[in-house]
Amino acid sequence: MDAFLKSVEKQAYRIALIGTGQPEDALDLVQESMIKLVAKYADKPEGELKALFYRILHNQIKDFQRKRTVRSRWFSWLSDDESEEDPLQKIADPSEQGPEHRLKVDGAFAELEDALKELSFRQQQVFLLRSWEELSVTETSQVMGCSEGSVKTHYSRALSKLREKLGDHWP
Amino acid sequence: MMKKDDKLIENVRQVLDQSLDELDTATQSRLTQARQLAIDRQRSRRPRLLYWASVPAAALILFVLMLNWPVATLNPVVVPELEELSVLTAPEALEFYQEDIEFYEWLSEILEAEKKLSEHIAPQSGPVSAKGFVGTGDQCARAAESRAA
Repeated sequence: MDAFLKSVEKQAYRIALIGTGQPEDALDLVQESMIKLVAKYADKPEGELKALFYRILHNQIKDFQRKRTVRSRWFSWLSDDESEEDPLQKIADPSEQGPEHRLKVDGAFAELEDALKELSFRQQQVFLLRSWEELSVTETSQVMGCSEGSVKTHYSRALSKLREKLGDHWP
Repeated sequence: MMKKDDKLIENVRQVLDQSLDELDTATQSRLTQARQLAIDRQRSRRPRLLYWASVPAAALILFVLMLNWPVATLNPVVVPELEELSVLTAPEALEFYQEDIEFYEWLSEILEAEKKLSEHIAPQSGPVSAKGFVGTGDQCARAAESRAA
């Protein structure tokens, strides 16, 4: 189990970071997913662990985004009533991760990150799971909780948008 | 188009893989801590699982013991036979049956035999001997009655 978690932890963090935009939140979600996987599926064969882990992580990111949407609606309603400054303005922009971050990642990754953030959540997740994690269509559909046809559609649209955004000369 | 897509996917994969090498040490350390925490929680759960598993096991053992516990068995009630009942309820002392019963049994057999004989053959008066007692049948019976009294 330790070896499996070690093999996926960095990719999981990267996927969670693209999904949430916040390094701290991404780390929390990865940690929570690891704990849930170990608690529930420690006795599963190693071949099944990858799909199970990404299913947990996917649900964590989805829950996080749902909560953030509700929170932002609540804050926007408050700000309309009281004509105060929007508290969301005080939250750091996920894409603005500071000069250190920008220095660490090269230009190609920054471009890719921006392009991925423009995709819908489902397109983003399907693309990363299929192309990077190399999950099959069936596994991806299990992770996402949708049909295989839906996976193919999301993947195709994501690829098309990325090609359009990144161009032929990237990276 | 397919070749372009394959190339794009390959490039995306390379760039994402390279980005993992550029993760800062603080993030890598946090990921290691998260992994360790998950593994430690699993280890700490095992004794707790053992603890909770022992409760139904103990209950089961107790149940089995209760079913098989050697109960202090009462001796079966001995129902006396009718013959013994008549002995027990008789007014005579028990010593009478213990000591002289054989004699009286023998005597009653003799009397019975004599009675049958007297019915078929003409009555004869002759001595009858019973365990050292010599006399006629009537005398024997009287002696037995007086002894019983």
